[in-house]
Amino acid sequence: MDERNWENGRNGPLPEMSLTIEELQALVCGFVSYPTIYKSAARIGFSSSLFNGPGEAALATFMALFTPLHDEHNIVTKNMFLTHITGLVNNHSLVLAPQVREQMLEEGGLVDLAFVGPPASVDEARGERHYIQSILRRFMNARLVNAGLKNILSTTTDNAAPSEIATVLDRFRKQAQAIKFVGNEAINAAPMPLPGENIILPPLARPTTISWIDNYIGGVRSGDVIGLLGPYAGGKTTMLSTIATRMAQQYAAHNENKLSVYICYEDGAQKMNWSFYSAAAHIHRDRFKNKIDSSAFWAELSTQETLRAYERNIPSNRNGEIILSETERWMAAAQWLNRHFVFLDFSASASTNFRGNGGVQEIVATLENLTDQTQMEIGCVFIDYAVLLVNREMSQQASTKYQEQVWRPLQMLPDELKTNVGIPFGCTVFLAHQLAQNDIKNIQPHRHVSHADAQGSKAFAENVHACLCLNKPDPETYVSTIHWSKIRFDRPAGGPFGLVKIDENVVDVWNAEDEYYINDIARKIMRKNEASPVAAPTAGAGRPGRRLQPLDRAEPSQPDIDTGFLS
Amino acid sequence: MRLQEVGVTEKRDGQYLDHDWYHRLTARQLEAYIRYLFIALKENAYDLDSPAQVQTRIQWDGGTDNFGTKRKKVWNRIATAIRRVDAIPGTWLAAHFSPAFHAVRVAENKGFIDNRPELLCSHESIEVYRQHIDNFDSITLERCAAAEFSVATQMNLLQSVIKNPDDLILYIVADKTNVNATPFFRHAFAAEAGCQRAVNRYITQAALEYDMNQQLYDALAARAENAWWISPQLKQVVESNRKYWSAYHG
Repeated sequence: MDERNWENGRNGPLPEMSLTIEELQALVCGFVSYPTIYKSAARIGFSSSLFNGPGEAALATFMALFTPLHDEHNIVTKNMFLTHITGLVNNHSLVLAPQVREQMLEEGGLVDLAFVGPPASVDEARGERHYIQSILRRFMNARLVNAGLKNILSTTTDNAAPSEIATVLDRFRKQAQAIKFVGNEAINAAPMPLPGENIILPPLARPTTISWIDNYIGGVRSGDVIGLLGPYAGGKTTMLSTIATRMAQQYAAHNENKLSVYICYEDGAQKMNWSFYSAAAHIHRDRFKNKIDSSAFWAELSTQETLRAYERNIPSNRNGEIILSETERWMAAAQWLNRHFVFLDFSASASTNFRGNGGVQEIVATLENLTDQTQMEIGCVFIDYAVLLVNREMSQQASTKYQEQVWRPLQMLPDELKTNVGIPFGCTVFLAHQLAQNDIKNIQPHRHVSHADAQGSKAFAENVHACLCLNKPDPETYVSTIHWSKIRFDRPAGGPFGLVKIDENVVDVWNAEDEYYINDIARKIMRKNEASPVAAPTAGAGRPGRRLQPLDRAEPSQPDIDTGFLS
Repeated sequence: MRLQEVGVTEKRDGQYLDHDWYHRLTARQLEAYIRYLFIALKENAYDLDSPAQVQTRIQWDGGTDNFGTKRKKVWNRIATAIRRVDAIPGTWLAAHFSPAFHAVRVAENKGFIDNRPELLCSHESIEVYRQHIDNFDSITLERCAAAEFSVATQMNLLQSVIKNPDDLILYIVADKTNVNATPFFRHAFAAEAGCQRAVNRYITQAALEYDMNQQLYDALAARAENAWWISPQLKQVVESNRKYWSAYHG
């Protein structure tokens, strides 16, 4: 039953499927194979008398014989069971009807089936156990709660209600609640192993090769949900695009059968694709603008003969000697981007059949389809951005109870993403969210913002594993401060603050701490002095900053004297 | 009579790579060395002839400013603070530009703080120095792993695009955005791969880094798997720089 829909008032409660005799047989066999399930059942009111339907006499007899044996010895073997029956029959304490005897004791009967034991494979045993528990829940709901309710209703006249109706209903509610959680045994998940035994270790952090992530949280871990908070037009989408393409690049470089999936609720392919291409191949943003058709775009891509000035300044081309042209970079990137990167247009437009209704289940279904289609695992999922995901889902629902309290589903969203996407798919989820402009408008660009600074973001960051807060960029340098305001699993050695620069030319974000610094007196982010051109290797006298002088060169007897402060 | 004149320093010419080389520096030489390191690290001005190194800064170097305020030199206070605890001057400077500085200062100030020379002789400095030394091994090994991973990633991707191995190494080592590595490790990769053009590009900063943290790097490089970090050329540059400071006419 879709419990969430029922709770939201969209649909009435749907009846569960009727139990079949084969399922009841499986339940009885499951009690024998998995004694903890039987104990759970006994705790919530199971008894053999609940097998009261037609053709269930053998099951009722089996359980009536099994129960005292189990209660006394805690475990029941086939020999014990058969000896017990034989003893009772010989004492005339038990008379088995021929049909019951046939169903229970004949070859291939209930006893033979029940005492086979659980499957040897751990996974199969886990699956079977789960199946038995689901049958037990339906059985108890039907035979205990539903039957009890019917009994009360049928014994009450039309113009009367049971006395203490609230207490009676509460009893049934408690029973139903206990049934719902049957199988949730309290197991200590952290038994301390002895030396040499298997130990449960945290998942390995996978480096992203992005210094403003790796230097703070050591990389990304499967199952994590990482929040990215920033003001509007602050560079959130640029950051997500950078990480998404970089992860795809890594999967290709290390021959991993994984996908980097970008889900955008804001804009569709027409407005987003260029940013992925620019992030992957470092193509100038202007190259995509004001083009009438594709041929105009391709004609403008530079080659080795027509390199552009900006290409010497992009971070990957700064060596000054080997410059890859736009065409070369495009060709190199297309190979891995097409294989390891997927953009899911969730902009709810007609072209995508209005995909992007919001909610986590839509993402789960799409990702499942994607893994089936491509036969690839999901490595990372990037969601741009949280409020649209939540608002679209809320607008679909008839209930408007929480329409004005968007913080509540926002608070739940990271947890939902973790349990439905991160853990089942074994991937990392990046989730972008806006910092409310009103709350941070007085925080200057050279300061650091935190998720606690804005009202809607506190709830958002509560359930994420790590939260990166990005301030608006400094208007002169276009450098932004970053603050890892929440880190659950690690503590960065250098503190949680840093500087990043959103590249002016291409979609890229890089660590800017070695080139820029925060000047507290000027109250802005300033560029460090440019390093002066370094002299040729033959020049100089071993002064710091100069190249190493040839070893055969004579050392000057008296070193140079600075014309500066100490002269 | 100065030690240099009686030939005491001459006897130790071959020992500039000793861990205690700075003991031979006079007070003026040590101050000049500290000043150079501070400005180099704060303003990326690694060349002693760069304007940032050459210009007189009254608030740090002492003198009377435009408003008639007399200021004292700050470098001797830093040297005194270093000598008081028998610290290594280079490591002391490196510590104040390391993650340890931000970690301590963030705890003290609840926020990011701009570095200035006065903070190198504050009462938190010894804690910064201690934390830097304590965390150095783990941070450096993490950085090395991150650098190796990102270099390997780019090598796999680009070897079909850039055919010449020397060009490939230069391109990857100098890639600022896709390769997450400090100049020290960029130099190490370049030297290991034998790409002299890339070595030249990063040897100045790598030598400075090694010069400041020599004892710590040597301890790590003593392990066989890290021996490739420190090239003979890097040592030559460090030796050359130290010769300069030891003979500095301060």
